[in-house]
Amino acid sequence: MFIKFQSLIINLKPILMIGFIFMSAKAISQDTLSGNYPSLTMKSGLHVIKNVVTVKGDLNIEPGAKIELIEPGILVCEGAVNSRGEQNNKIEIYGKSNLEGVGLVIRGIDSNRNSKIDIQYTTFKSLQLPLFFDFGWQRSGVNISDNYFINNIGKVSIIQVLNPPFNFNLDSSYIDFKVRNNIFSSNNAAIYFEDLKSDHINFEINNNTIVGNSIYGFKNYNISTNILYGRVDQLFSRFNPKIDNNSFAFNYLIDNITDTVVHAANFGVYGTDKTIDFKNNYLGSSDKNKILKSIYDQTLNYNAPKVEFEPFLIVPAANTPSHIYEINNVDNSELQDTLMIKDPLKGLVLKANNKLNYAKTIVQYSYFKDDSSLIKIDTSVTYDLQPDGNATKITITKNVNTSKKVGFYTIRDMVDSKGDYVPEVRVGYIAYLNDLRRRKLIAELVKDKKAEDSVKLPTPAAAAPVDSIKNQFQKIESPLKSRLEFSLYSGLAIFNGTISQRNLFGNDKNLYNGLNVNYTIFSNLSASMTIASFKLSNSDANSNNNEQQARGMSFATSMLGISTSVNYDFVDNRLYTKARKIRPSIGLGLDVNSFSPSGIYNGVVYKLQPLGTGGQLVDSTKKAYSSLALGYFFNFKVRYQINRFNSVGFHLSIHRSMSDYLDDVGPDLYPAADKIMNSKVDNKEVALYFSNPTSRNVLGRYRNSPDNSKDGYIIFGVFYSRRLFK
Amino acid sequence: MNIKNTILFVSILSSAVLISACSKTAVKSSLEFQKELLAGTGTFSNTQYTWQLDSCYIDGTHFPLTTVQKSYKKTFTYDGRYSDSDLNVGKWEMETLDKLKQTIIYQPSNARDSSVYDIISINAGRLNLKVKLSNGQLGTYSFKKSN
Repeated sequence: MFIKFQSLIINLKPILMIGFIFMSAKAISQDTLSGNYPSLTMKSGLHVIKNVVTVKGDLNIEPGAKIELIEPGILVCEGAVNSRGEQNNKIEIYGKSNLEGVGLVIRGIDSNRNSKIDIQYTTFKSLQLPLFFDFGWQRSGVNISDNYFINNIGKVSIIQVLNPPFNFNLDSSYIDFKVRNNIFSSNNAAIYFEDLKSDHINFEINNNTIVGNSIYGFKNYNISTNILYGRVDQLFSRFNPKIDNNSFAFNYLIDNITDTVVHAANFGVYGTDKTIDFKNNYLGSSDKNKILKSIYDQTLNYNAPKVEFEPFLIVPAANTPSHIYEINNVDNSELQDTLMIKDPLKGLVLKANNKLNYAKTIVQYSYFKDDSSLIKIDTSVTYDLQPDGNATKITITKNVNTSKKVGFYTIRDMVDSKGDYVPEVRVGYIAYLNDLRRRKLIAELVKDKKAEDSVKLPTPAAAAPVDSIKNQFQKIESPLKSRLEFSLYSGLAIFNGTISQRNLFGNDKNLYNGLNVNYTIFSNLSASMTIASFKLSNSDANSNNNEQQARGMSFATSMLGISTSVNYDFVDNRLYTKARKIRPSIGLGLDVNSFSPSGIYNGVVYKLQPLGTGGQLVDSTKKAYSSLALGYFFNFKVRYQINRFNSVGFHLSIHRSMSDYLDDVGPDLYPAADKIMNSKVDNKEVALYFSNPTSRNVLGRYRNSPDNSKDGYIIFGVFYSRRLFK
Repeated sequence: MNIKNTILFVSILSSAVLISACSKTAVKSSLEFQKELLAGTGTFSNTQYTWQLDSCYIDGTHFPLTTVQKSYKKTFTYDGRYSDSDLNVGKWEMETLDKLKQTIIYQPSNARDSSVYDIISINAGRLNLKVKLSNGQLGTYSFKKSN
């Protein structure tokens, strides 16, 4: 063992060495920052921030630097910021998964009057508030260009710009604030400017791609629930914001409570000014009415300025970062964003502002597994591409989701001609979120129901209320047909009586088939009727009891029975929920069975009842037993509810017959051979054989000795149930 | 797996289990069954049957039996051994439905004397045999089971 271990170590030595070198290198290259810095330069490599890090002077971030912010990590900049990445060597500022840090805060007045904020080719990802210009900040200029703001999780802002502390009347200096060529995508918050119109900040917001963002709010649409919003006051007259050539698409207001899409939400404005210039932007549609619904202005609020958005761009400008701005059906007809996708789409036409490279694109189809659970299946579908200028037709070649559950498509991992990031797009996501909400509500109902159940019987008084039956079995207000459920049963029947042995599975096993109708009476009580056909058989030869072996009897009988039962369902049978898919029940019932035991004599099957094998026909005053038997049974079922209508499960029932002749052997004395031979039975020889198959000397003994067992049988197997009516 | 597939899978699986689990009845041949009527099945307490002479006919004429003759018994054991109340021992064979070959083996010479009976009928209570006697007459013997 030791030698083996030693040889394993020797074999793994090079790998371990390499691993060690890598780990060491990583540990060396990782730089964990904390506290205050007079100035800071962050070189290419990993820098980790877990707390508040304040840079009093210049902050320089070099291309290739990766800054991981771990909650409550925040980088406070009180001086100039130079974060200038390169197109092919970007800077990354990101939050750690599930422990996302805050972001960059620009604060205070820099003593160096010429300090600037210059952020280029930097990716802000998975942060709570990527860029925050805190109240009272002041720098000589701001340039935020060619950056990516993607997948930021915070619901406050992506960029929030509060006012600098200029003296209103005396200070004539101002800040040039440029936001250009950035991509804002898959974020959860808005871009907010306290005063878009200002005497001290000259905003230029141009050529940005702002697509696929969610803004969290409530169902009542307001100013702040837009991807871009701010104030425009008459108080200021010096700088009107220049907001043009931006592309807004697929930005939606999401209801905080329900997590469902309310509607498109692109731009919101408030303040005392009459109008704001918002011309020459692409606003998600070429339909003016649709655009109006995505803007909050005077149209919705009399006190707000009017947004002058006409003329608007029909297609986004080519010099905005590349992105898909429109998705159509394969026939190029409009694809509604509220479309509910239950059947897989044949294809899509994706329109972009530039030619895109789809070589590594993944088209993912996500859909619910069943009718009500939260389980989602993600499948990558195969497709063919047909480029047509800046548009591309995707023909889906692989069919999935044959069960027709609600789903949506995600198209991701496109790049533009320079290999730069292109935001992902989704189709059918609004309807998917609505269905998700429905499913969550059901899950919550079930959870509440469970909680109720768990506190139902806390005190003896509550445990036995006067109307406990009413509480347990609540009346159901539903039509008769919807209470019916039909089942097919199949399984094995094992005889348990005179001709059987104690080891249940040592006896003969025969096929059982049944048709069942179940009727729901109350919430936890149901009645059912089953018509079943099966066979019972057994032989003393199977027994390990010597006396039974010596008796040497055997039989087989076809059974045709009708059973009725009352069942207690442990789970409220009105509910169909994911949480309670497994549903046990127990019940008691009555059987009526027709039977006719038979045996084989010299290769021929004879019915045993007419032979009077127990001597019943020897005495003319007696008659043969009845071939109709009453019985009773106990049953246990466990069902797995596949969906509202279909279920499968296991069943087990233990039956006891009131007749002792299911196996033809009852409490009769062995008849004398000569009496049988002298009787009026048709097949005397056969009757003689079956009366005592081993010809033992048994005069004076009972045929059902030694155990005098009562006849019965056990049935177990599987079933499939279906409700035919809603 | 969707509903149809689930149902199909459960159906196929349960059908296979049920069919394979069901008992199968093996029917004995007539010859096998007749041997068991003659000598038992070989199961516990069912290893041999004794047949007692009950009546006799010679060339179709009833031949009254004496008390001693009526006490004559043949015992056939399931494994092919034979004995009778005259203390003969030997073996029996039944190769066809209508022939019973009985071989007496004398000790210590080990000399063998075989005779072949025609089986007229056999059931759980009675055995009727026919044999051509050495004088050319036809003897018919009826035995009843004596256990």
